[in-house]
Order: sequence, then structure tokens, then C-alpha cells
Amino acid sequence: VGIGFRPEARGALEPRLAELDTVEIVVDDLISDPAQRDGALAVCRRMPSVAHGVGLSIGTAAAPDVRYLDQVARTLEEIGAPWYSEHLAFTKVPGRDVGQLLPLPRTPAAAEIVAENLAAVRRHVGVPVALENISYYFEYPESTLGEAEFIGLVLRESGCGLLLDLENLYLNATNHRYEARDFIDSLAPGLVKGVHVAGGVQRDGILVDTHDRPVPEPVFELLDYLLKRQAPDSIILERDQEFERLDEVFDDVTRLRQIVASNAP
Amino acid sequence: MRREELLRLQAALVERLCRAAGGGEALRGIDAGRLDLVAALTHAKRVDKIRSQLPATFAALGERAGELALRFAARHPPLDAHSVANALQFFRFLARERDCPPFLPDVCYCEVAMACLGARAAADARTVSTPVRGAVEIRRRPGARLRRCEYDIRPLLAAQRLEIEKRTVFLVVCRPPGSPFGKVFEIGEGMFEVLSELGRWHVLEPDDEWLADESTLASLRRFCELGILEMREAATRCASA
Repeated sequence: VGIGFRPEARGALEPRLAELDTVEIVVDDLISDPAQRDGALAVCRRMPSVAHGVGLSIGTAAAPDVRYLDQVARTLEEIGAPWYSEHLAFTKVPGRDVGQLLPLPRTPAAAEIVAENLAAVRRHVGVPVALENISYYFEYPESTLGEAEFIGLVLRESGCGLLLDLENLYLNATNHRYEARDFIDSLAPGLVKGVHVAGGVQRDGILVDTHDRPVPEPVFELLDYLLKRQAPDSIILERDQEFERLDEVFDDVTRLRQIVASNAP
Repeated sequence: MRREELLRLQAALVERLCRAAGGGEALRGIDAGRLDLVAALTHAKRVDKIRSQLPATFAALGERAGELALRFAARHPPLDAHSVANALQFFRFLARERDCPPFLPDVCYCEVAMACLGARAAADARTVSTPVRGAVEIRRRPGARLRRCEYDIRPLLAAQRLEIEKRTVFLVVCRPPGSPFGKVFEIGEGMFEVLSELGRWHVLEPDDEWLADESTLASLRRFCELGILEMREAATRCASA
């Protein structure tokens, strides 16, 4: 059980790192902000870490950026990460980068494009890759597959694992009216490599992923349900803002530990 | 759906989110209200990134920040996801805006300079040892920026306090070695002029008055420690910064 390391909260986090088993490092923080690099690497030397990315845009229907992948590969080596995760999404097209995770139309052809891109990524980075389910707020009329079906197809075609974000699953299931537990039931045994949890807000009747609130009870319940079926390597609590309420974060870590302990074999 | 077809759809969606309009035929069938929500989330995220780099600028803008940020987004779509790149775009936008406080361009300039320095890879700042035995080369450290301001904006930069005094100040923005952040210092007009001339390596011979005078040499060393200057021995051309 660990949390996502955020360089801006390093001062507050460092004295409490001993309360965690692991930290998740966002490789883009190290790539785009060399000034924070030494601090993040110092944390990696103190404890096991996993690596996560936000800038790959694996779903863009263009070849992955080789220069960026070189930077990712170097960073993964420095961190000593056992695997690397990214989002099943796109954030950019040539000439524009919105920095927002956007969904793909759920079609077999789109799955094939992502799998082709992932093949290039895997050749580059040298460690296993996991893909994370994102939160999405609209549907494409072109979509022919359900969410679980599309994710399963991409993972099968690419040979990647799943980083299951339970907060995203919870709010997608609520916003798009499906049963989150059915989604979990549909996952092949051993598929879930890692788990993310976080807290969001409700806006105009829609749940929005904001990573600035405590983890809601339904997400803890989904974790309990998941751990009876899958054995992820890590469970990471993500918090991107409101670091002054760090006790909230560590209260949630304690709760995560209790759930893990209650599902121990 | 082939790659070209998917890329066209993705480009239309990105355009719609950047401009809160457009997208045309490619986005037919997608709930417009939900696209507005995603556009709002995207915009808020971008503004948060810019604000994180330009807190004093946003403090000075006060209630106008929201309206300006909307106009900025409509004219300047995001070319890069990084916060410094977006802050730089916002600085260029503000430079052309009228009706902003007269000190705002200086505030924004210094904040962007600090952000750019923070984003640079850390580097050693080697200086020549004492005593200086031969000719040395000296220059302003790459990334260190000079700004003559008609207002003393330092309280705003340091603590977002709107206590702006109208007086000319000469500022240098630099990043002390080992510090993850850029910093702003006030210097005298004479030193400002000297630093302005040191954009390139400048050779100081052993008998140069700067090297002969211990107090001047100590000042130069102090400037090296602050990341404003760098010095190297001319003969060995040792690497620095």
C-alpha cells in the first residue's frame, strides 16, 4: 500500500514515508522538472517504487513519440521500476496537447491501433507495461464495444496488465449506469497488476475525478470485492491537491491496509 | 476505423475542447453538454497549471483572472501539457493586454523566468579557486535574467502582497546551485549594467582590476554562488554549468 508521490508535497510526505510500503513516481515529473529529480530519486532509494506516466498519449492515432519514450526508459532505469503504467486514453494530437485524459471510441479498430502503439512502447521501455482505465464523461456514437470488453480486447492484443483505478470505475459505473462489480467479474484472473484509489466530487449530478478528496466508501467496498478475485502488486492512493489535509490521506492508507489484511490468504 | 480517420476525430475533439466550440460534423452524436463539462475541466486544469507557476501574477489580476484566462484559452490553444510552457504562453498573451496594472508585465516576466530556471537541469557552478593565477573567463549564467522595473514588485513576488512602491529597481532572476527554485534579487544599477554586458564569456586578464581587488573578486564569487555568474580559468576551459 502506498501513495502517489507529488514533488510539491515532498516536504510534508517525507517524514511519513515509513508509514507506506511503496510510492508511485510519475515519470513525467522527473522528465519535465529536472529540479525535482534528485528529490524523487532520493525517495526511490529509500523504498520500493512503481512508475506511472501521464504524457504518453498511447491512444493518439499516430506513432508514439520516440524521444519521449527514450526519456521514459532512462527514468524507469533510474527509478528501478519493476513495471510502468499509463492511461488507456489520448491527451494530444500533432500540434496540440490538452493534458486531459480523453477516451477512445470503443471499437476493435481503435483497440488494434492502441495495441500497435503499445508494441512500440514495450520495445522501448524494457519493463512490463500496464494500462489504466480512465474516467470518461461522454460516449462516441462510433463505439461498438462495452467498456470492459474494449479494455479486455486491448490488454489481450497488447499483452499488457491492467492498472485498475477503482475511483474511475466507481464514477464511470455511476455516471454511465452500469454495475461496477460486473466489470470486476469480467476481468481474467491475474490481469490486475495494480490498483489506484482516489476521491472526487459531484458536479451537476455527475461524479468527477478530482483526486482532492478522501476515498469514498463505495470505492473501499470495491477494493474489498476486487481483492477476493485479484492479487495486485500495489495499491496506490492518489492525491493531487489539498496536501494540507495530509492526515486524511494517511487515514485512508490505514483503511486500505485494513482491507488488505482482511483479505490476506 | 483507420488511423487517419481516428486522428481526424481526435483532432476535432481537441479543437472543440480548446475553443469550447467547433468540432463540426466529426463530433455529431456526442452529447454537447458533456463536451462542455470536459472542456471546462480541461480549461480549469490548464489554468491551475499556469497559476501554480504564476501565483503573484494571478494575485495581482485578482477577480479579472478568470475572464482573462478564458480569453487567453480562446486565442492560445495548448501546444504542450507542461505548466511552464503554458505559463510562457500566458505571459505572451498578457504582454499584449491593455488595462492591466502597469507593474504586471514585470511581475509575470520574473515569474516566468523563475519557472524556466526551475525547469532547467541542475548543474554544478564551478568557479576558479583562490588565488586567481591566470586569466579567467566570466559570463552571466545561462538562464539568469535581468529586469529593470519601474515598481518595486518584490513584496508581490515573495508573498503575493499588493504593496507596490513606485521606484525603479534593478532585478536579477537566478537559481542558486542546489536550489530547485528560481529566486529574485535586487542589485545596484552599476552591477545591472555590468551584468547586461556579460551575456557571453568575457576574458579577464590577471592584471584586470576586478581580479586584483579582493572585495570585487569576493563579490564575483558571491554572484557565482547565487547562480548569477560563472567563472572559469581561461587556460583550461574547465566545464562549468
